[in-house]
This record gives sequence, structure tokens and C-alpha cells, in this order.
Amino acid sequence: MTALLEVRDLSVEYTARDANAPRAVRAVDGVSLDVQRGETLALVGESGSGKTSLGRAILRLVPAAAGSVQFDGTDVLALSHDALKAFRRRAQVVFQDPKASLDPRMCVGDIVREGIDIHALAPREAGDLRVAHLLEEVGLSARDAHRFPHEFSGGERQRIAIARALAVEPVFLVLDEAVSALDVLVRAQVLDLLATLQATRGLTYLFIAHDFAVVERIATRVAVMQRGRIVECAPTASLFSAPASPAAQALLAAIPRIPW
Amino acid sequence: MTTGAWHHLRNDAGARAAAAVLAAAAACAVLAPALAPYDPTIQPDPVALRLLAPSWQHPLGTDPFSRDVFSRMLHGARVSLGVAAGAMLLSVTLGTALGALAAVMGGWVDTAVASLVDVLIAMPRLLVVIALVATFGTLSPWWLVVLIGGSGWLTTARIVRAEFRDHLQREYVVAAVALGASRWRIIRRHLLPAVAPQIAITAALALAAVIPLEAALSFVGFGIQPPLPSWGNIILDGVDYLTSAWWMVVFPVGAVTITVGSALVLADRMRVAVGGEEHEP
Repeated sequence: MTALLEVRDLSVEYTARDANAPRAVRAVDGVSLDVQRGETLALVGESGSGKTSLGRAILRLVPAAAGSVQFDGTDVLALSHDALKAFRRRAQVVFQDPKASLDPRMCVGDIVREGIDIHALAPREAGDLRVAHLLEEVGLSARDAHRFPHEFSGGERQRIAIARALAVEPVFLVLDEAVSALDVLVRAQVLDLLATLQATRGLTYLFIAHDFAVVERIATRVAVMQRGRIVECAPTASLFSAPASPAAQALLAAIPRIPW
Repeated sequence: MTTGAWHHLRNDAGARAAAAVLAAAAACAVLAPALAPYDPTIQPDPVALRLLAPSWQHPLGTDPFSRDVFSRMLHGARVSLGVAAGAMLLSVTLGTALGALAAVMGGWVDTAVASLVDVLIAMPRLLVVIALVATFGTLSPWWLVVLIGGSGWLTTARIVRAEFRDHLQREYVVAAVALGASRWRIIRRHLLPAVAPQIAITAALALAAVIPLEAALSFVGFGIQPPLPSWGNIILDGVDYLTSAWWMVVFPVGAVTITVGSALVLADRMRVAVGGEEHEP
């Protein structure tokens, strides 16, 4: 079986505007990785290691400086305008801070509905029904469609963000620190939701995290990132029992022992 | 404007007073033909009724041509505030469009708009308009709207560009991009609603800037042409009689000052309301 996502030698550069001369900073430096259909690949590394840039470059939310991204056999970095729009239906993202990632001026129904409208997936009333089903699927109520993001708790907001991503029926989700900002109990509930959704919808996840705390629970395989490079990639069990790289050993030693 | 800021503004005495003054001025302008006791251009008796001091017959006196200053002030409000409102709308629309375009398109479009702003901001607005009038002869009120509005969009463009660029980085906009939203959709659904309060503030400031500009142009004789009254040319008619007929200058200057002051107070109170909201948890 071929991988759903094949990343080869991907690099992302930013121009740092220093006092004197602008210089290119390599946030992602020649990364290669595969994500198999239906699995969860965890991408773990300390802050600034390039995880978010890598996730965003895969989704073409930031430009790649070099390399290739193959998604289900098509070259993501070469997609035309229309093909890119079709790709956006299949690959979605959930960000870390749902307070920042939900437009505070839109009601929840409009937020979740946005993807349905963009891709013309349903006419008016059918769309309302879909929004209601999506909200129920992520553990909220259909009545919540008329409320605004600030009326919800952090965990509920993250559920709204997940519903928004699911609205376009993607097969692949980049979960960019999607549970990192949540407190422990809420985090466990959202992880349960993500596991359920993966099982029912056959989703594939790229799960970005800055520590190993929740990775053991959700990941099939783990890739460890350090200074823009992947230093180790192994099945979760073997990485946890015998980490090879110093970066993985350091991250493993830093796991807070919280009883689930 | 979001509901929190809107509530704040509605309960703000200063904002309500300023809005009431502006509404009253607008009502005078709209209802001038019904409110004015005399025809503003007719000269009933340039000998007997010339330069009369304020009285019950003529509440704001008469001018050197025996016309009723109160009636001319009301009709002048129609012209002055009409030109000001038109110029304000034009400049805010242009500024919003160009600022949005620069922020969203980036690249050479951004550079081009930024350069245009830098060049135009270096030009003294009043002198540029005077030079244009000198080139093309006298102007109709419509051309005044175009000239004043067309030269006043710089501040709005700068603010809209900066605010748009800030919001373009935010995750809710990145999420919309990830959903496949077009640039136009992102502008319409996310960015314009986000920046609407700032645009409203620049609109109030633009109004405060264009009212004296029109008055100044008409005062130097390049704006609204007699016999059509404007607050600026009423002052011009009276300036030769400054020591003997104070009412010809004091009332129009007062009208300009009060409306401009109200627009400035409103802009300031809006800024407080919007700022206060951003500090809320």
C-alpha cells in the first residue's frame, strides 16, 4: 500500500528582518517522511524545531523552499488554483489555540458552515442540517450553532474547530498542537474524540506536539524533530522503550507522569 | 462594530452628545428649504436691509447684499456638509479598497500603493487642490467632492493595510485559507468585519478633516462659487466687515468648529470603546 502522504527533502525558509541585512532562516531543513493511510504520525519536538512550519508547508499554507510533497499521488506543491481548492477539501488543519483560530465575530454555525459554503457542498437547509450533525458528532449540541465562540470553554472551542475541519469531509488532518493548550481532563476527552473520529471516518492524522505526554496514547509512529530536521522516526512502542537519539531521550525524560 | 464596543459607545455621554450634534447638523442640511425663513440667494433691498445686526426678523443678521445669514447658513450646511460627507465617503472607500488590496495582494501592488501614499502624503492637500482649480478653472461641488475625497484616502489606506496585515497572520484567517476560501471571501467575511471599527474611526476623522478643507477652499474663492452659499464663502462675504458686522464671521466659524469638534469627539470615543473591548478577557 502506498503512503497517503510522502514528503521528500522539504525545506521551509523565512526571511529574518535583522537590524542590518535580511537573511534566510531555515525552519525546516530537508525533511522526508511518509504518513500511511489511517495511521497517526506524531511529530514531536521542542518549540522552534520547525514542526508547525512543516505542517503548514505540507498544507501549502506557507511556501516551501525546496523538496516535494506527494498527497495521494499528486504533487501538492505544483497544484493549480482549482486543484489546490480540491486538495483543501481533503486535507484540513486544527490549530493549538481555538480562541485565535475561531473568528470571534462569527457564530458557531457560520464558522462550521464556512467550508460547506466555500465548496458548495450543500444548499441552505441541507447545510444547516449538516452543521447540526457535525456539532453533535464532536459532542456539542445543534443549538450551539447560534452562539458565539466566547461563550464556550477551551475544550468546546477546540471541538468547534474540529467540526469546522470535518465539514469538508477531509481524509487527512494536521493537528497542530491541537490539545496542547487544554487542561488534562479536557485534553483526554478531546483525544478520545479524535480517536473515535479516526475510527468512524477512517482519518489519517499528522499529530504535532511539543512533548511526549499525549503521544503514547494516540500515535502509531513518532517522528522526533530538532532544529528543522527529523532525527528519529520509529513505531511508538519501540521509540518509548528504546529511544535512539539524544533528542528523543531528552523528550522522554521530560514526560510528566500524570495518571490518566 | 462588535456588540461590546457598541454597548460601550451607546452608554457614553460624550459620544451621544457628539452624535446628536452631527445628527442635528445633518437635519439642518437636509431640511434647509423647509427651515430657512428666506430665500438664501435673493437680495430684497441691498440698501435698507444691508448688514443688519441679529434681530427677531433676521436671527443671524443680514449680509452686505441684504441676504438673511440664517437662511444662508442653513443652505450652506446643505452644501458644506454635503460636499464633506461625499468627500469623506469617497476617501474612506478608496482608502479601504487600496489598503485592503495592498495588504492582501502584497508584492508589487503593496509597493505601488505604499509609494503612492508616500508621494501624496508629502503634498500639502490645500495647495494641491488650489493648483488644480487654477489649472481647470472653477469647480462644481461634484468636482470638489472628487478632489477633496480623492486626496484624503491616505490615512485610511495606511490603517486598513496595517490592520489587514495583522489579521492575515491570525489563525482564524489561516484556517479560512486552509478551507479553500478565496481572497475576496476572506476580505468580505473575516477582514472587513474585523477592521470595521477602525474604519469607522478614520471616517469620523476624515469628516473632521474635510469640513474645514471645503470651508478654506470656499473662503479663498476656489471652492463653492457665489451665489450658492457655503460656510466658507459666507465667511468670505463677511471678512471685509469684520469689525462692523461680526455675525457674518462668528456664526459660520462657530458652525465649522462645532461640527468638526463633534466629529473629533466621536472618533475619540469610538477609539476608547474599541480599545476597551480589546482589553477584555
